[in-house]
Order: sequence, then C-alpha cells, then structure tokens
Amino acid sequence: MIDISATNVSFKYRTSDVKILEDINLNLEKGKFILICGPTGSGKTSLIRTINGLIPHFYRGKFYGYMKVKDTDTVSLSPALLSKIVGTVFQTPENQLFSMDVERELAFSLENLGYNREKIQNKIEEVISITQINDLRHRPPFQLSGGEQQKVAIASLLALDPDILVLDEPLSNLDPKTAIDIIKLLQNLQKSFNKTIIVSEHRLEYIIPIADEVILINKGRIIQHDPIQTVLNSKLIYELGLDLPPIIYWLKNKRDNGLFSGDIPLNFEDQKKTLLKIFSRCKRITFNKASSLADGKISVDEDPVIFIDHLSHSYDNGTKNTKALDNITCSIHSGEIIAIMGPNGAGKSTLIKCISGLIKPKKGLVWIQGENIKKIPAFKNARKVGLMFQNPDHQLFLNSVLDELKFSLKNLHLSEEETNLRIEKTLDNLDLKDISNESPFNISGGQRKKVSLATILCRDPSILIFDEPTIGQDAEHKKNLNKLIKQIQGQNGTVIIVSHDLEFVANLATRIIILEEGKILTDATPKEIFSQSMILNRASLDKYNFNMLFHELHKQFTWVPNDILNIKQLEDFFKKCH
Amino acid sequence: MSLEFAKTFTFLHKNTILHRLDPRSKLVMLLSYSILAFTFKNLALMLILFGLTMPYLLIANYSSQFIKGVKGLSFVIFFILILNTLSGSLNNSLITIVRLMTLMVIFSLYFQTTLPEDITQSLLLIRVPYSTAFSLSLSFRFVPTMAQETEIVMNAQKSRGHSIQEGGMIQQIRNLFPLLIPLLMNSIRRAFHVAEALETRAFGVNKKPNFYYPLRFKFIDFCFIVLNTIILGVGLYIQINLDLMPIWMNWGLSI
Repeated sequence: MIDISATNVSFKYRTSDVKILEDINLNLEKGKFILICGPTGSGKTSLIRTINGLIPHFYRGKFYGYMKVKDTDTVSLSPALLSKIVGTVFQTPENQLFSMDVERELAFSLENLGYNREKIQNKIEEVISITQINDLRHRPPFQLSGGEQQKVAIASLLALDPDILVLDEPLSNLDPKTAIDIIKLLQNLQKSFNKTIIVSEHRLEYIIPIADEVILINKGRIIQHDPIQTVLNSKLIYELGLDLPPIIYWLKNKRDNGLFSGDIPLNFEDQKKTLLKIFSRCKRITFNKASSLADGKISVDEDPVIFIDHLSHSYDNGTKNTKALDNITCSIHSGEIIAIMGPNGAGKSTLIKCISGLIKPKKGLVWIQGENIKKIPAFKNARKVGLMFQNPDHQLFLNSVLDELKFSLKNLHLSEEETNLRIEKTLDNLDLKDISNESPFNISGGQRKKVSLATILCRDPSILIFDEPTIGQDAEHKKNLNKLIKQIQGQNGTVIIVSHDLEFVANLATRIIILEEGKILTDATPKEIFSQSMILNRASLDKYNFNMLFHELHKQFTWVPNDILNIKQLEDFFKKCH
Repeated sequence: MSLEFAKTFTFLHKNTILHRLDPRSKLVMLLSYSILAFTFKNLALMLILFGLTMPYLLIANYSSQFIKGVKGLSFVIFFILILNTLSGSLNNSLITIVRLMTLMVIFSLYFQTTLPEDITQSLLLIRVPYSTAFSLSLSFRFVPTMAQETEIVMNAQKSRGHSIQEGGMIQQIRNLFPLLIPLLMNSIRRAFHVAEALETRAFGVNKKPNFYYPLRFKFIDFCFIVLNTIILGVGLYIQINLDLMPIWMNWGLSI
C-alpha cells in the first residue's frame, strides 16, 4: 500500500529565487523506515514540509505538482487536519511543547479536535504506555532533558494515531545512550504499530542499521531512492560528503576488492561476523618495533595551562540542590586536545563555564596560566580562553562579517594595523574572504558557523573550548574543524572539546575526560579508555560500534588489538596481516 | 536580576491548596486586593493589607522566590523612596512602596499558582477569542526559555570580550545591542517554529477546544471567594468611614 506519493513536486519559497525542491517523484510504502539524507541545504527539511502540508499552507511560495498523503492531496487539506495522518517532530522539540504539564501536552491536539474527555483519557494512557513516559506525566515539558522532550513530542503526536511519523534530525542533541533509546522507540513504532517512519538525520551511524529505504537528496532533487543495501552498493551516497560510519566505507572497499562477497553488513552482529571472516584468513602478522598506533602522550614537564583545583559547584534550583560538579581536580597542558564526555547532565557544560569564568564556582579554584581567575570577570578572561558556542544565532548581530570580527577585536585595544592583520589572517584561515562584506543573516548555516568560529579565533586565545562543535554538521565541516584544531595544537594552543561525537573525538583527542554525575569517572588517553569496556559501558559510550567491533574481535583473535579507533589504524593493521 | 523578577511571575509546579483553586476564584482575590491597595491611603491600613497577603504566601509555600522578586524590585523601590521623598513626604513614599509590594505579591501569587492553560480557559469564559487567550498563556510558557536564552547570548558575547557594565550611561545602553539583536532575531525565529508546530497539532480546527481538565468550582472555591469578598467589603467600609478607625491606627510619619 502506498502511503505517500509525489508527482513532479517542485517548490520555490516566496523569499528565494531558486527552487528548493525540483521534480520530486516519490512513492513510499506503508510501514517502512525511511532515511532522508543529503548535504546541508539540500532540501531535506523542505521535503519534510511538503509531506506534513506546511508547504504550501504555512510556507508560501510557488508549488507545482501533486503531493498525496494517504490518497489525500495536501493542497486540499490544512496541516491541522493532516495531523491526523502525519505527525511531525521538529528540529527543536522544545518549541513544539506548549504546555506546563506533560499530560496536558498530550491532550492538546485531541482537545483542539474536540474529542470527549473519556476518549482523551484513553488515548493519553495508551501513548504513555507506548512511549514509557509514565514518570514524566506531571512534569513541565520545558524542564525535561532533550531525550525526554523528544519522547514527549513523539507521544503527543501518537495521540492522534497518525500512520506516518516524520522526524527532522531527532538525534542531533542527544547523547549516544539516549539516541539509541529514541531509535528503539521508533523501531518499535514501525514494527509493532506498522507506522511509516521518515527520518532526516546527519548522524547516520544510528539510523543505517535499521532503515529500510534511503532517499538521497542533493540540490533539491532526489538522486536516488532505493532499499538501503542498493544505495550502499552503488556509488552516489559516497560522493555527497555525508557522515557515513567509517566501517561502512572500509567494508565496501574490501568487498569491492573481493575479500568477501554479498551485501555490506549494516548492523553490529553482521559486521562482527564479516570482520571475523576477513581476519580469520590471516596467517601471519609482521610487527614493527614502533607501536602501530600513534601514541598520543604529551610530555607534561611544564606548568599546566589550566589547573582545576577541587572544584565544586551546584545550582540553586528552588528546593533541590543538585551538585553539578563535585570536587574536580585536574591539570591541562599546552598542546593537549582534551575531550570532555559523559551523558547529558554530567556537568560538562558547567565545567567549561567555570574554566571560561562565566560561572564562579562555589568551591575550589581555577588557575589559568598561573593566574587565579576567581576575581577576573568573564569578558577579560576571554582573552585567554575562547569559548565557542553551539549556535551562531546567539552571537552574530552586525551588518557584515567584517564588522563582526572588528567587534570581537574592539576590546583588545590593538593598533589598527594589527587589527587588520588579524582579520586578514582569520578570514584567510577559514576561507571567508569572499563573503567578508555579506550580512551574517544572509549566508548559509555552515558559513554562519564558520563566522562565529572566526569571531573567537581572531582574538587569538591560547585556550579554545568547543561546545558540541559537530552537531548538525556534515563530513566536510567536520574535516575542516579537525584540521583547524590540529593547527591550533601545532601552534602550542590548548583545545578542549565537549562532544557526544565519539568518532570525531576518538580521532582527535590526546586525552579524554569522562564525567559522571559531576565527578571525573576517568581521565586517560583515548587508547586507554577504549580498551576498557567496563568504563565505556558505565559512561554509556559503549555504543561506539567501530571500536566495540575490535573488542569483540579481540575476544576471538587475541592478536587483533582492541584499541583500533579509526580507519587509518585499521588499514595499517590490516596491511600487516598476510 | 530582571530575569529573577520575571521568574516570580511564572508558574511553579507545587501541590498546595492555592494551586488547586479555580483560577476564577483566585481572580477574585487578585481583584479585591488590587482594589484595596489602590484605595487605601493610610500607612497602617496598607501594612495590614500587606500582612494579609502573608498567609497566602505561606500556603503557597513560596517565600524564597518572593525575596528574589523583592531583590529584583529593590532598584525601583529605591527610586520611589528618593524621588517621592524629595517631592512629597516620606509617609507617602512608604505607602507607595508597601502598595507596590502588596501588588507584586498578589500578582505573582496568581501567576505562580495558576497554570497558563487555566488562565486561557478563564479568559475564554469572558469571551476572549481562543487564539488571543492561547497566545497569552503561550507567552507565559516561554518565559523560562527566554531567560535561558538570554543567559546563553550573554555568555556568548562575553566570550568575545564584550562587557555590558562598561562606560557611561549611554555606552551601557549601547552595550545592550549585542544582546538584544540576537535575542530579537531568535524570538522571531522561535515564534515561527512555534507557529509551525501549532499548525501540525490541530490548533484552531475548532473555535473552542474541548478541554481535558475543564475548570470546576469546588466548595473550597466558594469559601475562598467569600473570604476575599469579606476582606474587600471590610476594607472598603473602613476606607469610607475612616473616623471609625481607632485613633492609634491613624498614625503616619509627618516628615
């Protein structure tokens, strides 16, 4: 049965000159799990908007073609009525929760449609049991964590029992464990309730193992729509700069070279089996004297750049007094790239706010380059510590990119020559020269992110802190960021990254600090951390399949090291096997 | 500071008698106290009225937030004290301050103990259109979100070396632009997202929704209304017949 069918759909926003969607032809079957992927700005969100009817009802513009959802033309039905057929989870679920109480939130659409009390009550009980949010029932949605908000948003849509669920980047702000939770919920909805699930997502490693079909979209056109195996077997998906799990690249390469035949294994178990098969052929390994894996140790003779001394902090949260940081001591040296990880609410952002002086901790001290920052206001401390925020929308406000940089340099009281030199250097470095006179409000999301990077980089702080730098970014941006961070390290700078992105961090960090409930759970090199499955498990980081694959392999073939973290190490190791 | 002040007027989840009361009966409380606060022109009466708000404060279990609210208001209180005393008498400025505090307590009590959804419903009963009533309650819902965002923007600009408390009066006002523009842009963006989400939640299909928790008068609401009407009646009676008041109460500071 066909759930969604599009015939020659094109759309042009009223505010834009180019068609964001062009000649979309689509037939989606009921009960499938469909992944929409494509580079940023390719039209993923717009495609979703045509499915839930926001295009052309809410977003005005020129709409061509026919979009049929369950045999209803979306042009003839308002999004409000369409919501009985299509439920939508938006990018920021917080903005779609309007009530002060979860139960009322779930009742909201039912109330609007005029259902009677009894029916509303039954529905609420039903969706609460499906999504397992009974403990949240009377909490205000805006106080919930990201994952909980996501669940409440999904539950609120399920109340209307739509056949189709559309989710726009549902995983982008979640820690690995929560992301898996949400994925399991979606999978259950598909399998047990026969819902059609359509997900647009950058974090492909979670979706690929469970998706049935993939829609590849680029520049407003669907360039491929096939079952996931077919898509991964053909070339197109590898050419878009998407953030595919590295093991998929590697396995495809090996299969094309004839090391195994058949489909590329997508889930953990199959990948393990295939790897076992590949490595079981190996008869002999040549060991170099030098360790095959790069040793990330940095000499720590010099004084630390950052010294955190018995730091504790708590937020006054009305009645509850929860400890955000609990007696943290550590030192960080120049040239280090530190990753701070841990589940949401473990105290990661409190810690970086303390280092940048935005929060004055209740107990303990932070020393930066031998100076106690307790009495130094945050804006002065920013000379040494540059904190990169997630969202450029919180920072940019001037008429041109150039003005933004000038504003950032204003407080440093540099000579005009020096100012111009710095601006020149930063623009060059980030490849922003061409748009230096554009308004930050007119450039693409990726460029805005770069500009907000530039506003900090041009101040040339010796310590740089990145708060979740990879959220919603494609492989291209990640690559640039990786290069930039290595470059800063090369200039003897210190970099701290707060991130859930294990893959990004594992390849970059010289040291990983894992926080748990405000305490340091572990502080070690990536190599050490990824060889301890117990710690990974406790920090709910054990879902980093790439490394876990080698933990499993190690159990069977003890000569396979269990600390392989990236493709390069895998390839190096593989070359030694004969 | 001002954020703390805004927080004193947003709903707090608690389980007290005041929270369970019907918003309409609480509206009677709001009105009778406000009327009295504006009619009283005697310091002693004003203080008694302020004292009469205290039981509610205790019932609503809410003292710490009140102190934060007063702190937020302290700047205004200080100004009233200076300006009023210069132009009039200390007595009058004290009356104004107590009046202000009474109003603050009673209004924040109302908004802290009443769910925005219930305010919407009570507005519907006085024939305010649903979309208007709903947008009002929605604005209460987004106060904490806005407060959070203000903090983020402040921190983001601080990490670019921007300082708000620098320079003279005019410079300080200009220092606010780096905060206000991103906040404004984000609010517009958010408003768009919220509208978009409302569209897909069947908002506005029916002129009047069928509420899951309809407002209901209970016996306690009746008692509460009677109590507040008595306070209003007695207060007005005393105000009209001021000579009935014992002489010792008719004091004031004659500075």
